[in-house]
Amino acid sequence: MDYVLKTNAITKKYKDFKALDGLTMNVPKGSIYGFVGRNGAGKTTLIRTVCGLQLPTDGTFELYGVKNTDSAISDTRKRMGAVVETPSIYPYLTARKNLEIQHKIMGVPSMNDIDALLELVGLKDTGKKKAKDFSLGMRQRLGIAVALCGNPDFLVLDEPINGLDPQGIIEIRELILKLNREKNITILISSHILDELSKIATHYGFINNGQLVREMSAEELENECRKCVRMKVTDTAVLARTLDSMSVDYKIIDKETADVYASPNITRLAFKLWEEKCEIFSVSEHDESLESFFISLVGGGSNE
Amino acid sequence: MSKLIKVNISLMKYRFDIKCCMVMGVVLGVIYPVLGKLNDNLAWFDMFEMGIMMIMLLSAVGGLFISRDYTNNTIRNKLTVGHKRNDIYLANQITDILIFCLPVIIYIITSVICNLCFIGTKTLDISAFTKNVTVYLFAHIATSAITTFVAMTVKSNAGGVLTLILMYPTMIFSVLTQEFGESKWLEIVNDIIPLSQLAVLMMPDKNPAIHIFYSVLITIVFILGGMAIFRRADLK
Repeated sequence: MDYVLKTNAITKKYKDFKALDGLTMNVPKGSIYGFVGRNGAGKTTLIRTVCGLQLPTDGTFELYGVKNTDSAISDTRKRMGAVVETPSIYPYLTARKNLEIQHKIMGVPSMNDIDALLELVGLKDTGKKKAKDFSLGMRQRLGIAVALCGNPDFLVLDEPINGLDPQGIIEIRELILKLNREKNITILISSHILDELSKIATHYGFINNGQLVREMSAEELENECRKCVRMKVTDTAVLARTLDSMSVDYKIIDKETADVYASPNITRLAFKLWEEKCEIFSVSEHDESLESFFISLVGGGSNE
Repeated sequence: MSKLIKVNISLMKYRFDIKCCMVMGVVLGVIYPVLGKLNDNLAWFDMFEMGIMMIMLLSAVGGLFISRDYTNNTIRNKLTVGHKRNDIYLANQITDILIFCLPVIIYIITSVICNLCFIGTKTLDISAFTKNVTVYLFAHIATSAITTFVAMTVKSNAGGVLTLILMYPTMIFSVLTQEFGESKWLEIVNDIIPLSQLAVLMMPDKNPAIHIFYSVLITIVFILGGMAIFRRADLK
């Protein structure tokens, strides 16, 4: 698998506090990588480090195979765009002027793609309105447009839907999906709103206390979070045998508990178990959401 | 770096405060000789009296121009796309020199034209005047280096006005030195501080070479120091 970003035991210390503690993660090419963690877990620190805003205390990272210590990293960074927390825009300029300035910063002589960019983010009709008069959602979209200048193939978005209304959230979500599907842009996105993230992410990285707790694909997560019937019985060995005979998918949790991933004929199952002298204590629907999966990974409480 | 300088120059065109400074250069360049003429008290070196006022205003404008890059977070756009930190610092330094020197040059040209019209060249010592103008410009460049250093290391709006605030104690020191200063070290400190250099320019400068040397030294020290700090700085 090709990776756009690979970090290798990256550490960032602020005096005695370790914001990143040997974090190793891999962002596959073409993915939408959801970066999940509590406040203060180290998400933004990692994004700032990758963007070159902060220097790692220890460890390295590779962007398109180029190490951060390599002098070629400056050129490689031209392939990425980023919106870190708040959009980086000039408030006293119009949307078009902001994009013109970013083109100049990047040394892109042609301004031909500005109209297409404004249309892509839905800001084509803002005319002479200055960015300071934009709504939060419009500013966020302008920030993404600025990050898209120079046609990057890796986009880093840090909390892009924070503070947006439902309409704004939908717009940003659709924009992210469009960029990923139509332009094949790899996207690293951090968000607190896990439900939203679960609608777009193809891969996940769960971070806690500066360490990557788990990295998995959306399919793997779906398997872990899928709906099931949780059964408590006297002997799960008997239950397993019975479910096997009925060709039903299941997972044994402990001696008495098992998750059954289908809707078996309960009467038939109960009858078969009774024949094997296995008693059913309880049957309940069990549904692990991304939130509960995340909590089970990192525990409760806050890092703040 | 040239790309960044071009960007900064483009941004200067959109900034109202910078435009005001340019206009101020012309207005002061006309008003001061006119008032002197009306009071029948106009000399060539009087034009340097405006130096202290202009440098204070310009340090606030120059500092804010740079610190806005932090408050708007637009400095990220430069770093994220791979510009080197040294290039960003030097581009901002060059822009700040332009912000300081362009209004001053406009002021000098306007003042010279007015003085030529009102008092002619009879009383003008061209050599002394040229030396004063050179000291004047180098003092502005040195102050721009201090302003850039403060704005790039404080990394907030406070960095934009800190240089201006620091000028008040410097100014008080300069006045006190002139009143009570007999000691050698006070004279040296006074020669080093750009604001104190400007204060003596209403007369032909007795030590232009020393003043220029100190201004160049301040410029180099602050640029190198600022670049070293900025290279390792954590940005948000």
